Amino acid sequence: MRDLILLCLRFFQTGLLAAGGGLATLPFLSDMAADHPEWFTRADLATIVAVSESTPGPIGINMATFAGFKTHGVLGALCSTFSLVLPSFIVILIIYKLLEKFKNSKTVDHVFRGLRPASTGLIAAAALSLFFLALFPDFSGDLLHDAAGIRGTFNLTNTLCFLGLFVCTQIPKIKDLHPILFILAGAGLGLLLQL
Amino acid sequence: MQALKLYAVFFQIGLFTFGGGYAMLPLLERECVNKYHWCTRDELLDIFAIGQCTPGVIAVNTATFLGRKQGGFLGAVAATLGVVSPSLIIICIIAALLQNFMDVPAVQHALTGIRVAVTALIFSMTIKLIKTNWKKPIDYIIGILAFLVVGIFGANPAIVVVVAGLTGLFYYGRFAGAQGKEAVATAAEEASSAESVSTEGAVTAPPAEAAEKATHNAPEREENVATITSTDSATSEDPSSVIPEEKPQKSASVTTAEAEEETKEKERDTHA
Repeated sequence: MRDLILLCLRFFQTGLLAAGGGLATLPFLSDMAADHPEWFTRADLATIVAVSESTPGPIGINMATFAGFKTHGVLGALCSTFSLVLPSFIVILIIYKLLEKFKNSKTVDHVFRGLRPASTGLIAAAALSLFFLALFPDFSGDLLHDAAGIRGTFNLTNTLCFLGLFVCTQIPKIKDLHPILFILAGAGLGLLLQL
Repeated sequence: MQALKLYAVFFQIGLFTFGGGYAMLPLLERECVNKYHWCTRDELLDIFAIGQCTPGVIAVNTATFLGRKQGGFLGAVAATLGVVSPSLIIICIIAALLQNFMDVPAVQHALTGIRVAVTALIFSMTIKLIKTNWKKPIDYIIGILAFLVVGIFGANPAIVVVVAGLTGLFYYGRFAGAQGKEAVATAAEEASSAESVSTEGAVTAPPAEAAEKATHNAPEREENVATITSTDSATSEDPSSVIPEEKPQKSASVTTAEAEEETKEKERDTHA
């Protein structure tokens, strides 16, 4: 029981401090693996990162669930996952209240007018990293330090599938199909063509 | 009822969010913007930006925010539980039964295909967002810099969001006059042609200075640039030194990002 509380506290702390998306939790999780190998080891962490890339859901959540389940079963999985989520849940509720209050303030409007183009840029950056992951499967994606590593990692079949699906997202009637259908089509193509 | 609906919608979104928070964007747009009209696309972007710089996972932050907006506290709980549930269930199953689930070739093939599909979806989403959100030169500057700094130089998005918010605050609050627009327009032209961030900083300086002559005196501003480039992230939180111009703010964003990147590298080294 004490161990479970400790586990939850550590995940709560991670949830509170890791800002900036899934990979931001990694350093915290890495520390945790070093301090408490009985919860999960670095090797477990590597596995979960790989699993997270291929299952729905964020890495942090997956790791919390995995560690909680491994040490204390389903109850542990629930507790540790909710500990990770709780801080951001509270913070977002507070921010929501504040935004409601200052909804018509010019200052807030100015901030958001600066944020929107940046947010778009960040999404473009995410698109770029996904692009490398999908079309250059063996490339690290690190253009800055490993630009030469891109050679020989280009995958033609993946690229053709990508182009086909991308064209579909631009064709008037097809583009209104549910994104889930695209994802399922992708899975089907992958199985069919042995991507 | 509303809470149940929120749970169901976000469960579905959580179930198909392969590859991190951004992968949920096309799904969110479909369900929350087009189908249920819970928010506009602009609001969705705002929520995403908030999610970037607040603690926790973006997917969860977005779910909490939209849930709260639609169904009060109960809605927030329902949406958050909904987005978390699929991974909770799937990981428990994997941990209990399928330790070597990743080694099954069929799983690998299907996942590669899913990755390709998600990339196509995100690309079309990005194009749509660029069309609606990058209109003025300042939008292009902020957007392209954010893209470069995070996409190429690997900076923490949270910092970029904070800097972009401050830039918007100062630019629209103080510097949206005709002169400013001219200066920024020339800066944008040169910025887009510049290859690397470091040369860009050098190139954008002259037009900014030209605008400076009209509003402030030059020596004071040079001092600003010096202080901002020499110190790093601390300056972005110090409004007084950044207020006079939008340009110093930009150079601050670049140096901040670079400093951040260095610290990240160090972290990587120590972990290795």
